[in-house]
Amino acid sequence: MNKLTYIVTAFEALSSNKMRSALTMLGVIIGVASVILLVSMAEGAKQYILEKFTGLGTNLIIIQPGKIQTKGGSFPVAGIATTHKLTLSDVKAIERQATYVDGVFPMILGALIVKYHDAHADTTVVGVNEQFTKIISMMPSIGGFMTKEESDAGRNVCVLGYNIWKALFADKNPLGRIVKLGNFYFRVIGVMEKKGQAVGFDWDDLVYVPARAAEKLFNTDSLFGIRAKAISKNVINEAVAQITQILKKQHNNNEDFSVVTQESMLSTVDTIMNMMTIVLGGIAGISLLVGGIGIMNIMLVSIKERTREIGLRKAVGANKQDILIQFLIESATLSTTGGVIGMLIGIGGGFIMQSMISGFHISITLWSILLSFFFSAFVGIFFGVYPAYKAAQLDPIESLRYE
Amino acid sequence: MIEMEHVWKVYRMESVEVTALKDINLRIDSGEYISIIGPSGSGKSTLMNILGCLDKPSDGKFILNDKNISDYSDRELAHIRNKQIGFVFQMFNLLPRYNAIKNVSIPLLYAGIEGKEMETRSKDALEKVGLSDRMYHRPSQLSGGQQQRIAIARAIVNNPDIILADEPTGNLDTKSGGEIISIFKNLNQQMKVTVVLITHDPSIAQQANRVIKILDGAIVQ
Repeated sequence: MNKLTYIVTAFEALSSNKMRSALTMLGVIIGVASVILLVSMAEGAKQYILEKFTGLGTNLIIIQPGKIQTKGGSFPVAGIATTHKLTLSDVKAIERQATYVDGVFPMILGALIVKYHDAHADTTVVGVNEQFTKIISMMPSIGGFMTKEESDAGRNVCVLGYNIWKALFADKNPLGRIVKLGNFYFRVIGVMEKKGQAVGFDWDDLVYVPARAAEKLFNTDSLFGIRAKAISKNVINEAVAQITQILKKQHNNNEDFSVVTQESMLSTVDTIMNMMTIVLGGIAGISLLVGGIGIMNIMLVSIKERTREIGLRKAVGANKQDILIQFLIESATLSTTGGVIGMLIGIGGGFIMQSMISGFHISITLWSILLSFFFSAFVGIFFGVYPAYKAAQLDPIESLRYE
Repeated sequence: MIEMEHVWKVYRMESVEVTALKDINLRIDSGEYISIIGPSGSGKSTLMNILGCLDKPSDGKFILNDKNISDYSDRELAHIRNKQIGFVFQMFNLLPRYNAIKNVSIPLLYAGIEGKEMETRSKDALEKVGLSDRMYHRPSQLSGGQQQRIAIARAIVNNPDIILADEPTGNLDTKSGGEIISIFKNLNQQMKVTVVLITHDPSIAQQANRVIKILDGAIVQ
């Protein structure tokens, strides 16, 4: 028999019992579809997060109050209340002394309602300085950002996020208008370009004010954090060391703050997300395995039912190998057909979910498709070996007598 | 030509030995039409299994076309069954999901004959048994006699030297049974195929050139 004949024979045998074949394949279909779907979801989430992080600008150094424990201790949460805080004088110190640092800005965050006449919007006010646009790759699309003079003096000027502008002014020019933030009045000097969602918040819902103005607004001098930019990628570690040294001196030799690079955060995220991909893929892989056991089960039943057929085939000249291959191809046909259908459902389902659920991202990777396809073929052959071997070993005389 | 010299077949069931064939000496020439008759349990099925290369003798020589095949491997025996022997069974043993022509072509698959040649040869075989108008029917759509004729077509499709028929009329009425027997006669006379027919029906056995009687594992006549 040539290879094509084996496959045709397998299809004929499987299609003679369509319902059973379909149900057997269902296990593999679900397995493959869920491997592709879950891996695509995890990959999509990873790429989304990485993209949003790198969208913050390159060579970024993140300084947060509180020491992140690297060994033991509780899980560090950025910005958690600590007795030791970062202040604007720390920012000034870094700005003046750190030679490997290209720019630095403070962050003071607070939630407020912003009003203009009758229109109002919920917003997060972020107090920064004039170097913000240099460090974070973002520019105003209307007007300008705050100047150094406005920042240092803490003038009541603000730059609106894209959504806030839309909410308060529709499409009208907001420049020079006065909006009310809490109990203070601020003059609009610009509107930020549209940036979209980032990790956990929407850039376009922010209002930017000078940090000194934010101190008054929220009646606090402690910063949410400080962001700095190293001169180049090559000196990023030197920049971290310099900042650490400067801040230690500022804080009476206490290292009550954490300095991390974006790269180190990214690699952590990458590790976590890769682990998630493996775990999700593994769980889905188990269902594929269960599908394979279903194939073995049905093949054993099928061989029992077709004992006389096997006896007849042997009587007219089939040897053990012919029978073994025949049944192996049947189980492989079941699993690979199921694999292809599952693949289409997985890919299609991913796209449907992406289009129906906003904020849901999938990334279909070639490796997940190939892996699940070949894994399903492997499962079919692996779980087909035992039944096929049993079939091949049957004695033709007894098989022909089998009732 | 078939020769059996001092052929024994002993089965070991747990600790009990059952002797199915005792010192069989038999010679069947090419082109003969013989019948083997005996009551059930007499060993005629065992004899047929050895003649058909489905089983090997425990002792003795089995020579088929001048070759001693007593110690052939399973694989070699499968090859001989495919090329030189055509089986016809009491239960027909047709695959219900295949139509007549596909059923007939099964031995050709294992002979490596495919495509156009497979189709022509299967059609020829069906014509020889008078079923050229039922080639695309499935077994369930045909009568018992027609099903047995498909089985005969399957037995001759690979041009065997010997046809081994085990109670071929056992499941048929007298009329269809008679038709089947006349097909065997025709095949024997026109194609010079050796026909070995196993039966317990004396009236069918008598139509052969030679009748071999078997009782308790030994040839008695």
